[in-house]
Amino acid sequence: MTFDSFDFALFLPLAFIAYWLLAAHFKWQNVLVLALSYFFYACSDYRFLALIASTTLISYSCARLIDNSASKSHRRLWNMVNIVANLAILFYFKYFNFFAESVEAMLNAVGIESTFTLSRIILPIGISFYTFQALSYTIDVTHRRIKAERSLIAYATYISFFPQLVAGPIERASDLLPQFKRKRTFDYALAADGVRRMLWGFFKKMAIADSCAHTVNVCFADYAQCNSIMLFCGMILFSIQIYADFSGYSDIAVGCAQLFGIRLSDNFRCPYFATSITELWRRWHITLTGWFRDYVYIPLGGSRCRKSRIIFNTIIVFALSGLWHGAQWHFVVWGVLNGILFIPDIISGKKKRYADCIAPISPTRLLNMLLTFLLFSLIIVFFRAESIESACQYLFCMASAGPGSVSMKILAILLCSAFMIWVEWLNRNCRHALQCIKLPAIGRYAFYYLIIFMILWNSGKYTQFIYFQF
Amino acid sequence: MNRDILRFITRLLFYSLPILVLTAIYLLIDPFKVTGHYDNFYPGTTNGGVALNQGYVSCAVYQNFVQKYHYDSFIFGNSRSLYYPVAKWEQYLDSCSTPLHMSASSETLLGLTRKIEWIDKSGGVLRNVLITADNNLLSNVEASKTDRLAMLPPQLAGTIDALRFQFQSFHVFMMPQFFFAVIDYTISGKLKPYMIHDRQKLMDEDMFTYDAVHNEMNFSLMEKKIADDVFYDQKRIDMFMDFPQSPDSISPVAIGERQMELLQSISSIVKKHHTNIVWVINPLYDQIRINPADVATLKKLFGENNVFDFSGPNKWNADYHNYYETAHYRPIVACEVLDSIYRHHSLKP
Repeated sequence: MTFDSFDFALFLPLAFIAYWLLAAHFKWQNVLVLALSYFFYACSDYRFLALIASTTLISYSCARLIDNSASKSHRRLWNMVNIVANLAILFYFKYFNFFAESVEAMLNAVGIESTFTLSRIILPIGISFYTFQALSYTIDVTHRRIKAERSLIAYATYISFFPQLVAGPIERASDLLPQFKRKRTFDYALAADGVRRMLWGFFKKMAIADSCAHTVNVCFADYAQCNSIMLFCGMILFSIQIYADFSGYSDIAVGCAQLFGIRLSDNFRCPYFATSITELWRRWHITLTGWFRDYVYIPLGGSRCRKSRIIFNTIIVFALSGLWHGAQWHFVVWGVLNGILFIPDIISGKKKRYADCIAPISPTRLLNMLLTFLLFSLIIVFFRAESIESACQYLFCMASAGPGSVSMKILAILLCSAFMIWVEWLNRNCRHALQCIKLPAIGRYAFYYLIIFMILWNSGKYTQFIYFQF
Repeated sequence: MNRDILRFITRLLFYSLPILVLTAIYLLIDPFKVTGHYDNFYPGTTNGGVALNQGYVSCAVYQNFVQKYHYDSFIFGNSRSLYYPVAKWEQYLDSCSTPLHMSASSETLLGLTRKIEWIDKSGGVLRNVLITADNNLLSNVEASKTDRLAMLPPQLAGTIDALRFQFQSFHVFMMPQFFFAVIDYTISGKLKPYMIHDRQKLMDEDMFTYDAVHNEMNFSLMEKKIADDVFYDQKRIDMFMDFPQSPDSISPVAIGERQMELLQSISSIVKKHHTNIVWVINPLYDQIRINPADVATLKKLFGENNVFDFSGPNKWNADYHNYYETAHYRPIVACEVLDSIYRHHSLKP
């Protein structure tokens, strides 16, 4: 079941009514949310319910054992058991074939003939997201940042909460779990804001991302036949597509959670208005970046060490981030390239502080924003292409193919994208683009209907959310 | 329930008022003919218009008229089966047989099986069955959940899928492109190029007359154009020039585990009804031969003499004049196919 499906349109109102009918009994609400979440997940593939249940039980039990252990070594042992068990599941389902193929290629390269039997393994939806959530929980319990959760229902609800189950945001237990431990009262303003946020998310997904998808697919599938301008547009449109797709999903997830009185973390804060790659990554997929910062980068030494070590740590984190996205070398290269772009800032030693607020436009700022966006778009070709080789060929064709024209369709998509960027710019310091529209009621609703009109105009394309594959 | 929640729901409904108004208009005009009762889905000569879900039309005609006409012979298949004239088939059937076209756009093996099961469960008689199939039909075991023209009709679907069918139709109606095209078409009465380009949303340009009793489309207007030598213009001829792309090729095996289950279900029903069943593998212009393993499976299940494979290079697909376009062959081909089948085929099971 996806957010843009009929099934979800049927599921959500029923879930909403059932949930608030149980408002007096928050523990029963948790049972209901857990059942709904498992049903939501089963609609995609019921066979993997056992997997999410295993991850839940393993991390729940390990956290209880950690909490009950008096000695530090015991706590570390159970933490390690949890990490190994969860990463083993993730490794098997996501990376087994990748490593088998890579080892085979390496052995063949040094002259040792070998062939591994690859299994046909289906990637369970959302496995990377809920595994990371389970890992962060037990690590936090090990370091005594939080207490282990006693209620299995509350904990299972935290791991599987349906709005963020399949593609995040990756929530910390310290933020989400307490919300399942107390009574929720219906907050009209929060729910209304949730609906607005969902509307904007649907607009980004269905009107922008899905419109970009066709052109992007054509460009990346047949780059040898396209002219330079077309390939350039394909690259730019993919940057827009992935942002609109993923941040659209995140907006729907956060908005949907608000209908149930639950606040989730923001995953994006206008990343394309950043003036450097470093700032962009503070605004892009915030919950994953934060996860890698807290559980990989800082334990590696973070930025309190020699510059060469900081560079190493940064590149390791970005390589792992690339690998998290997909079991392919081109994802790793994409990660490493992003890490390399941090090096000038690390070497210069400037500790830039990026405010959450985005300053008004100025010529310098606009230039920096454009350059950052272009740089990010160039690198993201490695993310979208099928392999490192095709990414290089794409970039080569873009640089060397003759000039040409672009279709009116592409111009129309760019115009719609410009509309999205304009609305986001006007509301750049709000949590989402429809949060603080300063218009009289009639103007506001006319604007909402314009968005609905644009969603309907572009609907019917049904492209899967990009991050579902991770 | 909390007063705030009721206020929230009330306001949500209030602000959805334009959508509720559209819903009322939709129900009133029923552009896809999926909510009301129709004795004739295409009254008069159809010079194009709103494309209907052919699977829905087939089931609705059966429901509406089975008591009156006692249908007992059926032509199943995708849009290619539309070109099999009932009158021609009737020549080879018992005089008391009443045939009905039960085709569907992009028919799947699932849709085909569901239709046969539905007729059986509703107490219908299956005396003669003609199935026109190809690799697409045999391999497809899932109905579309988004293409309103190819979705399983509510008669054959479960409750959720029936609701999805209605929702998807309403969704298409609300799409501005379709909405404006319908209004423009209603006012001007003319099909314009922008209305036709997308099968999911807009209209159909096919010209045909319709026989509501047999659910048969008659494409005599296109045949007249061919006779007048104005049908095959350069654009159309160019389409044919791209084929065959890989002569002598064989399609991959279509019948797997799930397909086998569905075919066995059909087989048990036709055995129960002592049905005269004929499988025709379409003579497609692409000249790709259906996998012999699939033909062998069909023969094993339905009888050696009941499966006729016309795929691969043959006298029809050597000449593009036998085709309207690369996907559909003309009724003259269908008639010759019927002749060649029934010349030697016994109607006894």
